[in-house]
Amino acid sequence: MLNRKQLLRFTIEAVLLSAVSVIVMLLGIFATNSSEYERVQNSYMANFSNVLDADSYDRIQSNLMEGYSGVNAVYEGVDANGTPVGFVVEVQVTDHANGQPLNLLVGVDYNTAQLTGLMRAPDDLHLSTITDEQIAVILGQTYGHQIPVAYGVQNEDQASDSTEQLRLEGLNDGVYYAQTLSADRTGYIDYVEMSIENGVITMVQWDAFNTDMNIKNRRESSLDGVYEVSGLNWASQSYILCHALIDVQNPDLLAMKSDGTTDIVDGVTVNIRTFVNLCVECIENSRAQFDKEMYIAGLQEIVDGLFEGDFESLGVVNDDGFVVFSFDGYPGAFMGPDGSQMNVRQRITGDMADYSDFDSASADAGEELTGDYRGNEDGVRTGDISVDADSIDGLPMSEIKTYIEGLEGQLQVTSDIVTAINTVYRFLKDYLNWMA
Amino acid sequence: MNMKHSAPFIHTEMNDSYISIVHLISLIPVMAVAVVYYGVRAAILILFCAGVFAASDDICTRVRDHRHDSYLSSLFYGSAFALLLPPDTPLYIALAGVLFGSIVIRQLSGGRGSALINPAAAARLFIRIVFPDNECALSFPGQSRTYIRSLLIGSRGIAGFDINDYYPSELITGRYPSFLGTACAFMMLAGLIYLIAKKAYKFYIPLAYIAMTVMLSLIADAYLDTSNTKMFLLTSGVLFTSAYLLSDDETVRQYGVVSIVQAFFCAVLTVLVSVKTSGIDVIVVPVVVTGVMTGVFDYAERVIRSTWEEKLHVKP
Repeated sequence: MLNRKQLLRFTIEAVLLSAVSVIVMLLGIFATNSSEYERVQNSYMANFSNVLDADSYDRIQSNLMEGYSGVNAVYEGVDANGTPVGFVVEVQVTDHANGQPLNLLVGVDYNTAQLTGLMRAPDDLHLSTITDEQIAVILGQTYGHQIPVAYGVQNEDQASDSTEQLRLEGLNDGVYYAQTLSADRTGYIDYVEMSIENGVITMVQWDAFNTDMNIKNRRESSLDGVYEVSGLNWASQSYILCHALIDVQNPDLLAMKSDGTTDIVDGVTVNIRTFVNLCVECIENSRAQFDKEMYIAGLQEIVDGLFEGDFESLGVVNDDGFVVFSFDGYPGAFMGPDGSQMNVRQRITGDMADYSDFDSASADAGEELTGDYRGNEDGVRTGDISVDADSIDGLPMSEIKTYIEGLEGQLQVTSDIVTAINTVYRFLKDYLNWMA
Repeated sequence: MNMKHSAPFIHTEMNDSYISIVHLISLIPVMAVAVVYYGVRAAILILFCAGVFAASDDICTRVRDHRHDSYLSSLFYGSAFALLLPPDTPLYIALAGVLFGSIVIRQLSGGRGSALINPAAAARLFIRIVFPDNECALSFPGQSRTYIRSLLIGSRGIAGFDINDYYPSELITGRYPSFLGTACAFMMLAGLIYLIAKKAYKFYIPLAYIAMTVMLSLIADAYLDTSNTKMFLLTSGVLFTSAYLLSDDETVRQYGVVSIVQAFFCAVLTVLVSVKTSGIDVIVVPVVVTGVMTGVFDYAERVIRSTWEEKLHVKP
């Protein structure tokens, strides 16, 4: 055992050694600060200058990164005055061709959220089968465009190519709209907005606003976790379903079963009856050249009629210009002369012609449609609709800023690279509180 | 094995407790490096490993021998083990290593003074084999000093650094991603000097080890072009080996010709391992193998000595 004298001596030595060590360490840090900064900046410059042009880069430490499993590191680029010019994000995605990781550097402009660069990260182990050439092709399609990105949709050329044989006859170009006339039990009024270009459905949006205007719309509520459904969140399912319709161009081909669900769209578990009905109404409106503006105006006119010209005082138009009114208490508002139920177009125009005959409207539709897409009976399924659910990357369609063609015939590779870009968007959106 | 206590009629302060506490204090410079560079999580890891190692040794000793034993050497092994870990090592991995070193390596072989191989090095090698992914849990020094979540969930590691990009001043001060206590050459030398100054370690052992390592590394450089010797000395952790692992009087002979032979042997293994791999292997594999071979060295020494004594006895 140690005696008291030894203990005292060792205690003093330990304290002195600790103090000297810390002082020496701090001096060492002070002495090497400039070396470290120079080395780090040289390294950053060598790695990042092709992705984001900046005078210097600072690594960002953020707890938000814990919530984004793909985001490995984030750097802020600044100019000579210290003003932020953009971000470089190192993000890891899985190459679904072989299950191996792919590390990418994504550059984003600070002010415009435009993509400034995309390349394989220097420390990538090249385990992925995705080549630098493929990354360069995606960069060519996205450079200088705002993120987030989706592919293969809303692109005029591709839409016309891929849907040439699927298009419904009689569609007129424009933006069409339909909403449910009664709120559901949670107070939501569903609506579908559909864009048609060159006779092809190029954009579909399905959402719902609430009769209580203090409640966010269904898409936002689902993203906030307030509105919950089984499976994927409602916003994602809506997005997937809308893309499925763009792919098949015909709501009948979504193969809705008698219980309102569908088996042929991966990821969609919600009841799609309302969506299908509203899409059908939009298509009919298109054929009848009854566009969105006419629909909204007509709806206002109907509400106006119910309240004898006191529409303005009702305050039923929300910030987005939609008429937030449920006709539950007015069963006669849409009753036709023969007692049949009318929709808004029929009620306003009095045109009771049948625009719903898709089979006759589509010239030899049964022959033109590929066998994979038949399913207009009750849940009949003869093949899968290849809807790329990953392309959304958890982002609602309304946020997508850029649509690209992607790599020809390489949907999965495109999806993997686009996922990296959109992961960066999601992180920066949280980090910078974009869209707040 | 080695003598643990001085005979009662020899009045010297160099008893077991003295040696142990000198070893423990010699770790202070590298502990300071760990805490200054990696902050709270480094301090917690060191305290946790040292505390658990001491507690485990104490419990095992009480259960086996129904007696209390000095825990100073346990604190040293626990601390040395912690200093060999990556900064972002989670506590459960550290716990696994400590229990392996304490129970399997130290206590199952008979307790204090009976282990064949250095418990800290063996525990670290165990972690290296069982949790290979943890070797990536490195971190840039000086960043996130208050970050402690890695103690629970580990980390993804860091990317994009090349040790060859670092300036010599950064290497000397240990300002590069490394294990907690193996980066700062300056502080490891300080610990080594303290050990020698307090006469707890013979100067010729680390000298023999470092000299042989440098010589062989230069040869390897010349013929294999594997590494830069200066870089190797500063970043491979061989200074940690020379200061803290070869100074372990329980597993490595600390006097006589055999101690120098062991140091040479360990140096040869160090350079051989460094030719094939890097990282923690270069530090702990030679020490573990040298520990295993200690019995062989002792036997060889006895045979040679008896042979010489016989010759000398017959000659007159």
